[in-house]
Amino acid sequence: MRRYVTAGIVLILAAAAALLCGNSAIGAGDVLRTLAGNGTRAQQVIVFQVRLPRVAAALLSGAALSVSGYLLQNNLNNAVASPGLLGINNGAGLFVLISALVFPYQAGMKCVIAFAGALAVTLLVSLLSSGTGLSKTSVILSGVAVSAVCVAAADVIISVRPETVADKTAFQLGGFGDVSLTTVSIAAPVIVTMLALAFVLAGGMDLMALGDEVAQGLGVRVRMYRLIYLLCASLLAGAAVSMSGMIGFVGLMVPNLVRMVHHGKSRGGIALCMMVGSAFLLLCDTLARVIVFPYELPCGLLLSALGAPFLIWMLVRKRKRLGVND
Amino acid sequence: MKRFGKRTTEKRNSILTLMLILALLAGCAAGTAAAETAKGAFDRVIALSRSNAELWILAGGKLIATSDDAAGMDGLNEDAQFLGDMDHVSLEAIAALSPDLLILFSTEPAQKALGEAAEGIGIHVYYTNIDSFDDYDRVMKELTGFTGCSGAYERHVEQVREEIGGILRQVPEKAEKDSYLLLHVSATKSKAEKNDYFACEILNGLGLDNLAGDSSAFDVLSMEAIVAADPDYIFVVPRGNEKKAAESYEKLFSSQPAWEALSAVRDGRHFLLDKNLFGLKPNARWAEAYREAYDLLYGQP
Amino acid sequence: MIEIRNMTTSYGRGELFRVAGLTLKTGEITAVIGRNGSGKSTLLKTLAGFLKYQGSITIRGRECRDYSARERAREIAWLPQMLKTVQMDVETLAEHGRYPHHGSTRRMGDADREKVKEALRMTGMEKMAKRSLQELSGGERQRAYLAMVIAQDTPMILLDEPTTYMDLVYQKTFFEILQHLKQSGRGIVLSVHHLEQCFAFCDSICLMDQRTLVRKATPEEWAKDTDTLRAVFGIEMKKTEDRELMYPYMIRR
Repeated sequence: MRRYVTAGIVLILAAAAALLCGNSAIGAGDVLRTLAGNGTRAQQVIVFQVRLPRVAAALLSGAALSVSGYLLQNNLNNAVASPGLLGINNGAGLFVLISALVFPYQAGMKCVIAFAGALAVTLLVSLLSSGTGLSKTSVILSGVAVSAVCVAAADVIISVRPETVADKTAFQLGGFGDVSLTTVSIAAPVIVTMLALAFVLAGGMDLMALGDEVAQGLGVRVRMYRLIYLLCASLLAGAAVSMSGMIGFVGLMVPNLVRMVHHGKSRGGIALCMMVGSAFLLLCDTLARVIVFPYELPCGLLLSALGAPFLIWMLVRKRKRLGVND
Repeated sequence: MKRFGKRTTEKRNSILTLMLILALLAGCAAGTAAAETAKGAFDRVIALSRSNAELWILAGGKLIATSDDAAGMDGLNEDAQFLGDMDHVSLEAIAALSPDLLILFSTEPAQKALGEAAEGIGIHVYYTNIDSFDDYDRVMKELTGFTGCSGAYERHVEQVREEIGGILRQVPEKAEKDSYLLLHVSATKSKAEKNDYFACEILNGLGLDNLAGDSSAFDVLSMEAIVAADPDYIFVVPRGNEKKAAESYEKLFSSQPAWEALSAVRDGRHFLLDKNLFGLKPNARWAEAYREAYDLLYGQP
Repeated sequence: MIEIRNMTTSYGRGELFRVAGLTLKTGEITAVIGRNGSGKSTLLKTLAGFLKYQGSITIRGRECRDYSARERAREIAWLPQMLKTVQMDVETLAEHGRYPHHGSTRRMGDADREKVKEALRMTGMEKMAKRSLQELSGGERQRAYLAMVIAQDTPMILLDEPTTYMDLVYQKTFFEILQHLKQSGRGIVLSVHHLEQCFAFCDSICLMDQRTLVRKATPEEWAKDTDTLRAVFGIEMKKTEDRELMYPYMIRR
């Protein structure tokens, strides 16, 4: 219980910091005043059209990517499974690149197209591995293969049309700088619905952890559940990526962290992933926004810079405590 | 006694070898230097990219080959061959034409690699890197030195410089400079250009202050910073296809509602700039670029 | 009760597996014996509904393939040979046995909790209820899974080589648990390699050979039918009169 409360408090603090922190542009007091309804025009624009959507996007993305990673890791019984491994990131990136060629300046399209890319990749991976009944190994291998194909295709596009390289880099570094209410309002319903679905179906995941045979013996329709979890994970990741570009590390790191401290039911694990993932992404985005103001750092960069050492520290700590290498 | 004699012979041989090597090196250096200073020594010239091709043509030279993007360029001789995309020309295609000069960008990785390979097989390479009018001046001086057309230097550099000077003298004095942002825009990203970009040099010279004018390497401006600073002018230079850029120019500002709150957007002080003058180096049309910017800022409403 | 009529299934390499007729009743412990590759696991897996089959398998009069996954899981419980070691405590594992009854969305009620407690008691795992599976020995883990299956509260229980990692004491306890379950009206089908054991504790024994059912008979009948046993295993079973022996039936060369 204490863990949930701690995570919740951290999340609230992170959200508050994200909302109130800025720099010379607008102070914490100004933000509060603007939220209450009084503020200059510029302040209103900053708070309601720039910061709030951005905070919402980081919050939703963090939860979505973390839960997506959790679903994949549990489902595929593999601690390094993540949306990126299954090609979701690269698929979305490829589609965005193609859309940059076909619809150059339609910003709203980027969001929808990234999403479509993520979905297309998942369907392809499911199709490829359906021959083996969606076995874990074949899903992972198909994901790796499809991911490689997407990367290669993107490289071909860039070498034929070099002007698109800026688009590719922008998408790959990831960040919440371009978020607007439009993008958030497209992605938010998807994320919220899929999170709810994951929560509701979490019980089945606990059973599948016992192995496909035992789960089937208990009446779980393993193949159907696996497909649902895959789709859920992919929609979550696709929606997140459509707002922010490729942010890969969260989906890998947060579920592993959560599993180090939480050994109970999946439902609790999902809740923790949501809170920790959101808090972490909010923190990174706030830093990305504030450190080199008026410029921005790519959020993905900070994520790796902060997240990797933290993960390593947790690994070392855990090993010392257990005294074994498992 | 025998051993002593052998060592002396060895020592003598080493000294001779060393002297031979030094002589060869000196000869090479002399030879290269001779090639550099010889005027009109470059008859077979290949320039890759429209900009480089233009520079050589302006300097009074002729090209045996260039890249596809220079097709239709004014002044290009009709017998010039086209070798493909400027970043994807093979060394073999170049070597097959036996050029004696290759003109490339020093800042394009693909071209730099090609240049190094070309130098390795003995082709002389000239690298251009133009970030300002002064750079253009220096390059043209060297190129016209190769072609021997000093008249070209006068026409395309000195007269242009005078024209620019004339425009600059008409710029009104202002107690507080107006601020601007120059955005280089593609489908998914807009990048704020810093003061080391040549178009910013033009705008700064015309009495404006670049919001992104610091010396850091960062170029992604936070939306909040833009809203807070509220630049007086916003200039947009498109990448890629210009027709599509013109069509979608307005969509840029409606994609992020915060743009519409900017006074520059509301009052119409935002302009789509000609890619050929502000995206690619204008070269001999540098004064034209100044003229166009001046008219936008201070011309008749 | 499970009835099989003219059932065939193909498993793996396309070779057919056949059972002409077989009845498995509740209130009985049935052993499935046979050499490696004879089809013991295949039989159990088909009964548990994992393999597509042609012909007829009826569970309480209704065709097996007409059952939904959870309905079938309320009729038949199944444990495979390989049991995973996961980070889960024994009690939670046993609680999973209630899944077919309440599904993913409903919570456990008091009746469910009672069944779980009973299952843990029966397998002697109540003191270890909060221990993680990873801390248990192989035999304890098998008993934990058995508790799960008992909590599933099904008329029939299918076990694939359940005593592999159990020491002698556990094995003895295990068969006592099976007796208990049998007396409470459940039917158990288990595949075993240990011939003396199954002859001692089981009510009937099915012999599998070359992917087909050879015969189902009681231990006494098998002791008399020496030819069939000899044809498959090269041995016979003989009952001794010594009542003190744990396994009254002994292997004769």
